[in-house]
Order: sequence, then structure tokens, then C-alpha cells
Amino acid sequence: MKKKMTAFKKELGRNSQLRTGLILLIILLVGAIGAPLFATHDPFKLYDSIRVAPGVDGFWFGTDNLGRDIYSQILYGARTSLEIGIIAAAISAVVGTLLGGIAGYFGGAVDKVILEFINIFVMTPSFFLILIIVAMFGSNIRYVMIVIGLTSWPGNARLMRAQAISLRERTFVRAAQAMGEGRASIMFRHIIPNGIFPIIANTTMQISGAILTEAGLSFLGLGDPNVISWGQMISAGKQYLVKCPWISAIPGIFVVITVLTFFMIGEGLNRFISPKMQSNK
Amino acid sequence: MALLEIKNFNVTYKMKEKEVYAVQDACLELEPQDAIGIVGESGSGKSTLAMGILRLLPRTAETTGEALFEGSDLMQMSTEELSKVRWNEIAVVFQKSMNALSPVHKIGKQMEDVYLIHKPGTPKKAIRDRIYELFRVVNLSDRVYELYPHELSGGMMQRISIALSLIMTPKLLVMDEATTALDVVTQSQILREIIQLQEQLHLTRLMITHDVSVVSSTCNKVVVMYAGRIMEKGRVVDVLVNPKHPYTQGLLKSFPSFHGEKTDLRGIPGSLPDLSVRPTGCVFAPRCPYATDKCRTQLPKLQSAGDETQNWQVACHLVGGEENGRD
Amino acid sequence: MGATEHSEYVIEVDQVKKWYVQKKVQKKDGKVQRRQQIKAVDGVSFQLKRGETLGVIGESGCGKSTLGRLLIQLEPPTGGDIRLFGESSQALLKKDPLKFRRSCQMIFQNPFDTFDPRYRLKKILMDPMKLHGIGASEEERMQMVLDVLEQSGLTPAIDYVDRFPHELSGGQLQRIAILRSMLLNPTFMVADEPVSMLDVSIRADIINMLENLVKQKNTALVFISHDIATTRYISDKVAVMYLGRIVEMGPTDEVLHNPQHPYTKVLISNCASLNPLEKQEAIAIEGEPPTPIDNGPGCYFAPRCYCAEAHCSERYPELTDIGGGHFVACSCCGASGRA
Repeated sequence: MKKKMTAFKKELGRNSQLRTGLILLIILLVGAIGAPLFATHDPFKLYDSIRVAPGVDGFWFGTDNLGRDIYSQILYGARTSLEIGIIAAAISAVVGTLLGGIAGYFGGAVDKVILEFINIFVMTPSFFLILIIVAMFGSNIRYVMIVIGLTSWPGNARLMRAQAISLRERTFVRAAQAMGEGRASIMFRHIIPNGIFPIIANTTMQISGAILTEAGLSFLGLGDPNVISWGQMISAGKQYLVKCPWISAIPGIFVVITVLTFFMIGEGLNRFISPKMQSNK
Repeated sequence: MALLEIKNFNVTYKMKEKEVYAVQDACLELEPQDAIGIVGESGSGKSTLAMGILRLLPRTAETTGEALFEGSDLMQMSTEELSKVRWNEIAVVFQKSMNALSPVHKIGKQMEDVYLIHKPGTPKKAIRDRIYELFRVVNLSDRVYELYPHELSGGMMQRISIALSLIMTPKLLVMDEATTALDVVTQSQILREIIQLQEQLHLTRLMITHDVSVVSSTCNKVVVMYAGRIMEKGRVVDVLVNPKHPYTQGLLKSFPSFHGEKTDLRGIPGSLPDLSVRPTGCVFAPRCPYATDKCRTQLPKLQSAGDETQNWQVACHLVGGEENGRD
Repeated sequence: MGATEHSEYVIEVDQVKKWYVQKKVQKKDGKVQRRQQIKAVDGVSFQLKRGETLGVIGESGCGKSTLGRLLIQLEPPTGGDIRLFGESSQALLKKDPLKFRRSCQMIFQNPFDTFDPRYRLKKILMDPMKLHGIGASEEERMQMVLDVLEQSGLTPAIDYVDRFPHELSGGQLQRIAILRSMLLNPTFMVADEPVSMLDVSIRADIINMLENLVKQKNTALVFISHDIATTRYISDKVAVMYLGRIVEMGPTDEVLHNPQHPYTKVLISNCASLNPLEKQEAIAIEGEPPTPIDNGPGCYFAPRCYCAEAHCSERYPELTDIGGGHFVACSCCGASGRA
């Protein structure tokens, strides 16, 4: 583990993508966690200055159509976006790893059934599935997270399945079997830990996808009205795009930065992992 | 004149934190029509030496020393000069050279392409005749011309590799573990063919292998390498029958014998030294049962053992000139 | 089979088979066959007593590694029966999988890949003991591990247990693999080419260690190898395999120095000697072993055999005792032709 940490530190020195991504992530996390500290105004309060431009009347990023402070809303909205992204991606990673691992390691009929199941999910247009579910059960933010998580796992499952298929043939897995370890034990102690790295990289990138999906839903007016989210902020400003572009543009920029952050981390991790995998052989 | 003369050849891999001395101070002469086997275990530098001579090593490797091929130094040649020598004069067969063939093209077509690279503008008919001729040399039927690589067995693929290496009638053939991956029966078939081939084509051959029996059955001279250095070299009938260097002795004892009594099988205790540390004495001293203080502090040079005609050299303090009465 | 624990043999293998199904095969005449059986192991029988070592030799693709995996039930056989002390091993595996795994162990070819790269050696060595309930506490298990490491020359043992597999050499890893299996006190063990990936100078020590442990613990061993000289060194009996079947079997020196089957003769005569002065005449045969599909009714070796006769391609010859426990499956040579 120690060795891995030093290798990781070295990689940080070389891999500027990973480094930039992590720095941005720290800034985002600090902003989201410390939102009450950094906020200059109450994000829910409707101030008298409606649609003022950034910098006017002490509103750093201006106010929206109802007179809410955009800067403070951005801080609180970061909480929502990160929460959705991380929880949805985590659900996707757990489901994908388990199903992919089982399919790849057990093989045979189990594999065939799971593979068909994966294919069905891949073929379903997931955004519309989410729309239907939100329309049916209401736009609670919890549903949104779960639904995004449950529709994005097939990518992870395919990755894990491929890993499991190649790990299954490795000597140490056969040796574990010969030592009397049960299938579940082999799966959780050998297959998953050794095959998890691509999943981690992919999941990081899926956080971006989840944040975008939530923004898209909110833009369409299907967001949770009880929380502040960047998507809803964009949606609120869409009527004033020409006259007051900052209302939509500022949260838009933050969505882009956040998506980019996770994308860079994911891509950086991929680079860190793949050449190492080859040289370790 | 020797066909190939290697003088004080060194290969050092430059890594970020350390330098690995893969080959140190290697000297070797190949007379025309010699068959020399370089034997050694992993990490002995046998392949690095051969690839170094052909300048096929990665950029991290730094080579010093001379490798005179027919009098001109391969190390000093320009890229164009070198590419004229490679394949035309010196050809190589690797352990998995069949991987070099494209899976979607027919064998014959690929061989034609190789020929055309070296001799552009040769008429198709002439190339085809040459390839059929080579097929006969390596015991393949003409049918192979129309086959794809996946349709051939391992032994046939290795025959193709040999045929391909002979396409320009080289003077020197380097075989880097060329038969290692094959089964005993196939290996022995191919080795027999190689010996015949050498007689027919007046080739000089450099065999790199970890299998002493391959050298003993197909070569006339042998070079024993350990940890980047040459330990012992000489005629096969001398070195492999009465080895003088303790490493050679240990190596030969490590092979269980097939005939006679089941004697105790003895390996060499210990393991290969760290090649990034320059040893003060003999590289084999830490594992050598006879090592003395001199061995640990002074580097032994290759010295003549046996008489003039034998050309037998051993790098060991304990074997000096004629006084090698130690068992 | 009313035999119980008192059965004379540790393991009895009776006509065991493993056929793989291959989909879509293009045959030589261009026809495509949908399903084909690859007969990797095609009816192998033998028995082993306690402490006996059987060497299995043959070229790659002869089914010797598949046989090894079948013997310890890493794969289920397609047909035939494997009995441990008279009890079917498949039934044993179902009844008490841990007990079966403890009594049947395997050493693999590639020591660099035998251990999960993510764990330290102490975990690698102690987890199986814990799983099988060997040793009462962590401390006791640790002491046992340290003891066996010291005994096998991996000293000081305490330095090794905290290392990761990639920090050790191939020879050290293979020793640890053997020790790990031996800690479970198996009654039967399969070693599949245990030294073929190691350097020659360290092979001898591994072979000696394996031999000593097997003798000490009275374990029956199946030693699979393509190296005839090494097999001769360690084995009491030798079986020669060709295309999934045993063609010759018997006491080691009897089979290797007085081979009867033409294939055995070919195999032995093609092993080059280390001594350049002992030149022996190798029997030359054409081609390489084919894929074991549709081997035909006759002797599988007949198409390549240098002394095949017409009747060889009609019926597969029985494995017949030609005296002294020396079995040969050939209708042209030895006494079997007359039997």
C-alpha cells in the first residue's frame, strides 16, 4: 500500500491532468461543504434587487429573476450536484461490479443471462426512462439519484466482466480454488480487488454524466423544487437569456467546470493505471 | 580473419534511479562457419549481447566496445550502412518471430514483400522460385505458400522464420532461443535441419539458449555467460565435457542426467546478484563453493586454459594456466 | 465399489475423460462442422499408493495438464471415475469440499502468478490454514509458517512473511507454493511443470525439496513434465501420454531405458544429451501432434509411426502388461501384439 502511495505521488508530479482535476475537486468540495461560511447572502431569500448584473449592490454574481443571490446559490447548488453525481455513480459502480463480476467469473448460463440483461439496459434510452420514472413518482432528488445510478451501471458491468474473465484464468485464482476457497470468497477477495481499477476510473467519469443528467432534468422543469441545483438555476434564466445572460451562464459554467473536473480525474487515473498494468506483467 | 569479432563489449541500461550493467567486457570471435552457442540463465545478458551487436536494443541501453563484422565496426555504422548489413549479411530468428507475420496475408505474399524490400524490382517469378527453394531447405511443402499464418503449427512457423531469415543468403545467422518454445521432437527435427542447412549454405551460426543440450548437440563452440560476464568459452568437446569454471560445473550438475545412476541432483545455491551494483570481485563469488578472498576482491580475467589449439578460456582465479588440478 | 478408507490405493483413476466442445471448426476439405469434440483426455486409468510418485510426460497438447486439473477436480471430468481411498472424488467434493481440497493439492507451473499480488506472504500462507482449521490461534499459525519457512532454507523467515509476492524470485515463490500446499498435509498432490519456468541452477533445489516433503509426509504425487530427465529423477513410475491417452506406463527405469512403444522411443531418442561426446541416433518422425479431434478407430500414433502396419489403423490397441507392471498400448511391439 505504501508503495502504491509513493507511486501515486510520483504520478501526480507527471500527470498534469490528474493534478489539475484533483485541485479543482478540492476547491469544489471546500466550496460545497463550507457553503454556509462562504455564502454572502441567504440563497433562498428574495431580495429587492431583481436581475442585477454581477458586482452590482454587493451581489458578486448578480441576482436571478426573483432576486436571489446567484453566488450563494452556486455554493449550495454545488452540494446538490456533487451529492447526485457521487451517489449515482456509486450505485452504478456497486451494481456494475457485482453483476459484471458474477457474469465474468461464473460464466456459462449465468453469464448469458446477465449479458442479456446488460444488453437490454444498454438498448433502453435511459434519459427517457428517467423522465418516465420522475413523471410517475415525482421529482424527489433521491429518486433522481437512484434512477441515474440504476441506468448507468452497464458500462461498469461490462468492464468488470472483461476483467473477471481474464482474472479467472490466472493461476492465483485457480490456486485459491485448489486451496478450498469458496466461489464467493474468490470473487470478493481476488477477482474484484484485482479488477477494480478500471471501474474506479470509469465511475469517476460517470459522476460527470450524472451531474449533466440532473442538470438536464432540472432544465426541463423536472428537478426537485425543494433543493437548489445548478440545473434549476439554468432553467430559471432561460427566459432572460438575451437580456440577462448571467443568470443561466454562471451556473452553466460551473456545470462545465465540475464535469471537466471529474473527467480529468477519471482520464488521469486511466493513464496512471494502464501502463502500470502492462509493466507489472 | 574472423567473421565477427566482438571486443570489450558493454551494455548498460540507464534507468532513472540506477544503471543496470547487463553485459560487461564481452570478447568473442566467430570464425567463418563456426557454430557458437551462448548459454546462460535469465539475467546472464546473452540476448542483450546479441541484440547489442545488431543494435536492436531500446534507447535506454548504452553500448560501448567494438563489434567488427568482416572488419567494419557495426557500432560505428550509419543507419543506411547498418540496414544493408542486417538481413543481407546478418539475419536473426527470434523465439516468437512468427508473431511478426501478419495474420491476414498469405505466407508467400509476406515473404515476397520481404524480398522486395531488400532487392526492389526483382521479377515475381524469380522471387517465387527462391521462396520454393527455401521451403525445400527447411522441409516445408510448396503448399505453405498459399496458407495463412494461423493454419500452421508452431514448428512450421519457426521453419518459416528460418526460411525468411535465409532469404538473402546471409553469412551469419543469429538464433535467439529459436527452438525454446517447441516440443522436444519438433525441436530436434529443426535442429537437425539447421545443421544440414549450415553445411549446405556455409553459414556461420550464433545460437543463444538456456538449454545446454541444444548447444551440445548443434554447436562446436560454447560461451558460458553469468550476470553479464563471460565465464568460460571454448570448444564444446572441452567445456561441456570437462568444465573448468565452477559456474559451468554447477550449471551442468543442475541438469538431471538421463543415463546411468540417479546421482544427487545439486543446484547452485543462492541467486543472481543485483546487476545494478558493480561487483568488486568475481560476479559468481557469492554463490561459488570454492570462493577465496581473492575471488571476492579481484575481478578475474579470461585466461587461457588448456593448450594453444584448444583456445579454451576461463575467467576464474582458481584456474590459472596449466595448474588446474582442482576438482 | 464397496471399498472404504482401507483401500490400498490413495487414488484410482478409471477411464477418466475430458472432452471440450468446440463450435464451428473448418475442416481441411473446407467444410465447416458446427460442433466438435476435442478429446483432451480420452480415457486415462492408473492407481497410486501412498508415497508413490507418478511422472506424466508428453508433448504440449497431449492432455497432461488437463489431466492434472481433473485429478484435483478443478474441472469436472466428462466421463470416467476418480476415487480417493475408494470413494468417488466428485461425491467427496460435494459432501465436504474443504476436506477434499485439503487432501488434494496442486503446484502450478507459473510461480510468479500463483499468489494474489495484493496480499503479503503471511496472509497468503496463513489464510488457507485458517480456512481449514489448522492451528488454534493466529500466533500458532504464524509459528508454524515461520517453522516451515526456516526448514526450507528461507531464512530469516520473519523477513519473508511481510513481503509481497513480486519482491521474491521465482525459485523462492515456488518453494513457498509447495510449502503452502504441504502445510495442509495433503494425501495426494499434483505438480504441473513446477520447474519449467525456473532457471536451471535453481530447479534442482525445488525438485529435491518437493521430493523430500513428499517422502516425509508419504504423499502420493503426480508429477507432470515435458522434461524426461527431471521426471526420471523424481518418479517411481512413469506414464507417457499421446493425444489424451497413456501409451506406455511402468516403473521409471524400465519405461525410460527399455521403451517399447514407438512414441516413447521417439520421445526419448530426441532428448539431446548434455555431453557432446555421447551422440545418440534420434529417431526422426514427420510432423507434429494433431489436435485431438476424430482420432480415428486405430492407434492415434499410427499416422506418424515409423513402424505402423496395416492393422494399426483399425483398432486402438489395449494397454497390456508386458511383465513387471510395464504397460504398453501398441499392437506391433512387445508382447501386446500376441496377447
